[in-house]
Amino acid sequence: MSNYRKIRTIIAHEFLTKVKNKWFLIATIIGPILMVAIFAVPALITYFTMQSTTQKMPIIDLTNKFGSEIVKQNKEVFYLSNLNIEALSDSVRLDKISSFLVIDTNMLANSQVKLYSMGSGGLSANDKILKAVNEVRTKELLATSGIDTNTFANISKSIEIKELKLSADKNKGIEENNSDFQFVLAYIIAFAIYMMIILYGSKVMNGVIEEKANRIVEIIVSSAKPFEIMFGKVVGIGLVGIVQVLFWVILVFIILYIAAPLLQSIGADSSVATQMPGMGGTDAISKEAIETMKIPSISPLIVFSLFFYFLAGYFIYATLYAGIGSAVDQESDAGQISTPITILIVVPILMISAIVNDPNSTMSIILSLVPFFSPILMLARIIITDGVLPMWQVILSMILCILTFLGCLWIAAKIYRIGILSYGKKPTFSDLWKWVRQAQ
Amino acid sequence: MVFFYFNFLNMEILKLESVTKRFGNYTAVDNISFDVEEGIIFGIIGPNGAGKSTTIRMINNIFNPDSGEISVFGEKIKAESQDFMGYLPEERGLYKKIKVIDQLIYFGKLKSLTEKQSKDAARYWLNRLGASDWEKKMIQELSKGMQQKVQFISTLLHKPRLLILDEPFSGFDPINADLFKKIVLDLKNDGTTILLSTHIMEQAEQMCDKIGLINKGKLVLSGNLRNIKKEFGKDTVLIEYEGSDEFLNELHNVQFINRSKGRAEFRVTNKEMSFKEIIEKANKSAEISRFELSEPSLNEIFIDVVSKSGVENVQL
Repeated sequence: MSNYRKIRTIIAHEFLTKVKNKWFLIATIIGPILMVAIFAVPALITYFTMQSTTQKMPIIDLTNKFGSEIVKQNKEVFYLSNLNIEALSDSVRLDKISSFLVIDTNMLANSQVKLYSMGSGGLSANDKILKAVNEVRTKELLATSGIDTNTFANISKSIEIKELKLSADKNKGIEENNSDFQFVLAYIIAFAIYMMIILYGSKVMNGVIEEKANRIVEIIVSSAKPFEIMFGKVVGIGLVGIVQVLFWVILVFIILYIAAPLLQSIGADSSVATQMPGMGGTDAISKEAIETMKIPSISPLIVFSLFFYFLAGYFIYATLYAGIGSAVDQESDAGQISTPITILIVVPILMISAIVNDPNSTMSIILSLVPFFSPILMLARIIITDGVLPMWQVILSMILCILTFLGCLWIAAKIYRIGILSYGKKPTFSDLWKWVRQAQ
Repeated sequence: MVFFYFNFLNMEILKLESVTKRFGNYTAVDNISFDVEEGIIFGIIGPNGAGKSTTIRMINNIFNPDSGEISVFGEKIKAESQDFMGYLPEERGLYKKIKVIDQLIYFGKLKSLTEKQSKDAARYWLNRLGASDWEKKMIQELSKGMQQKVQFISTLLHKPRLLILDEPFSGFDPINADLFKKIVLDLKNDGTTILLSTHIMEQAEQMCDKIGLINKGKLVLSGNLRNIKKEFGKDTVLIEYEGSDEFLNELHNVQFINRSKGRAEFRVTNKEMSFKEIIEKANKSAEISRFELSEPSLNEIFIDVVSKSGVENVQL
């Protein structure tokens, strides 16, 4: 029925014009850098602000004991002051110092120190004070009650759950379960698919609108069937998406397998050097985190579903976007009429945390089977359960996705057929429905 | 042998039979039938909104008729027919950010040409229209006139047997319009059949061998342009004179087309009145400097046919 040569021509045209565009190259290369920047910049800013507390904080020590111990361990942060509260208060008022700390004689009994300032010193300043004061306080309390420091360190260690995953195959042995990793992966993948659907869906829509607004489409429909044009466009732009994603996936693998081990060795060294003789501070945890940041093996089912649901999500929504695009005259008219589609894409994102927290609840199962949500929610369930969920659910959802895609394609093609040559009136949903019924 | 040759010449390349198209309750094309023989220029003529573009879209297999049948090249129209037709829509445009040559290659390939055929054809036409230098330019860098040339070329790449031009010269600047007119006539001489629509009667008169007049979705008159005009006869008078125009008021049963100082153009609706009578009347009050009899313009014929109620379909 359809002329495959023409569809191929249209696919090639859509693909090449998008890929040859310099903005595509820029977005493909700059995109990941931007993503990294979004995560890295706040972290870097925090890091540098914590490092660069230029002003030391004076301590008025009424106990004549703890103050000097605090200063001994944190020379860069604190110093002992000989002045009284009034004098330092004036200094704060004159903006010579921003705050000062007072350790009362009954500090131990009250479990309290006083921080004077004209505004909040910020959470990181408070953290530093708490850590420093707690350290000397604990040491003092342990000394007076005769408890050994090591014993205490043991007691205060928190229990961790080591998750072990049983495999269906008895002989396969027990693997370590890495639910943290899956948790993060599920979120990242869900958001990535969401972004790709929105990004490429609107690309398809804008492409359709462009051809309609520039009045090119009538020349094209005199050469190929509307269905072939629409399908070719959706597939062509989909291929652009696949190329872009593959590029990024390869980039991530390069980073994980080449750059990460390098970083790991550097990180391990520095963490030893910076480890404090304290009570197991945060540094030790970060060192542990870096050392255990091994990439767990990803099952073939996850890889397959990743590709399947990415494509399913894209194709379902891109065809709908193409239909909408054909109905309007210009991009600014598309917002309103595409809202229902946008809602369909946003719903699973709102549900994702509920699904990830309890992937096998009835609600999770039902929601993940809704084909408009499956590309995000079923995929999240598969990742979070590491592929251990009733297979019928996965297969059913895949079948539903394919059927939904065909349904959307059928409806969108009918809207497209009439929409692309209808100008002037901004169509309503009842118009669209009329078009679906009208087209032969 | 002679018989065969005769048949070949008169082969109907396009045939519409009782074609009707409705949009909701509105009937855009109402029971239209006409034939177009190979090698002629056929003009679909009518005012804006008459149903010309809808008819043309159906011939291009963009719309399906609600009833009736369209045949091209001797068989019922189908998707593959499009490869042998070239179409210049009334509302036309190009990709702004794609190079001229790439754009033309794409349009050619959509008509089932290979990449090479498409490229060669594009180069041939760019060269013929003196536009070879723009090959690598994007459409948005070109002037309006240049864009029109590229637009026109895009319909010719695949050497269509049937070239369909919807209001071809509207929007084109006069120099390009003349150039394209010449090319259309060249194509006709090479055997291409041309179907063009226009609301400008003079244009149709200059170019068409056969016409179909469409009004309010109905075909009100169709046939050979010469025959149509002959049928209406030489009933149009152009008179130039010096003196009083009083005599013009005495003429009954005439329809003025133009009337200004010293010059009048009118149609004689009463065949009883002889032209001699008119001259005699004029001579009483004025001196005639020019007196000319001619066939009515297509415009006049159109007004005539449309205003005659009850005339549904005049075949000449």
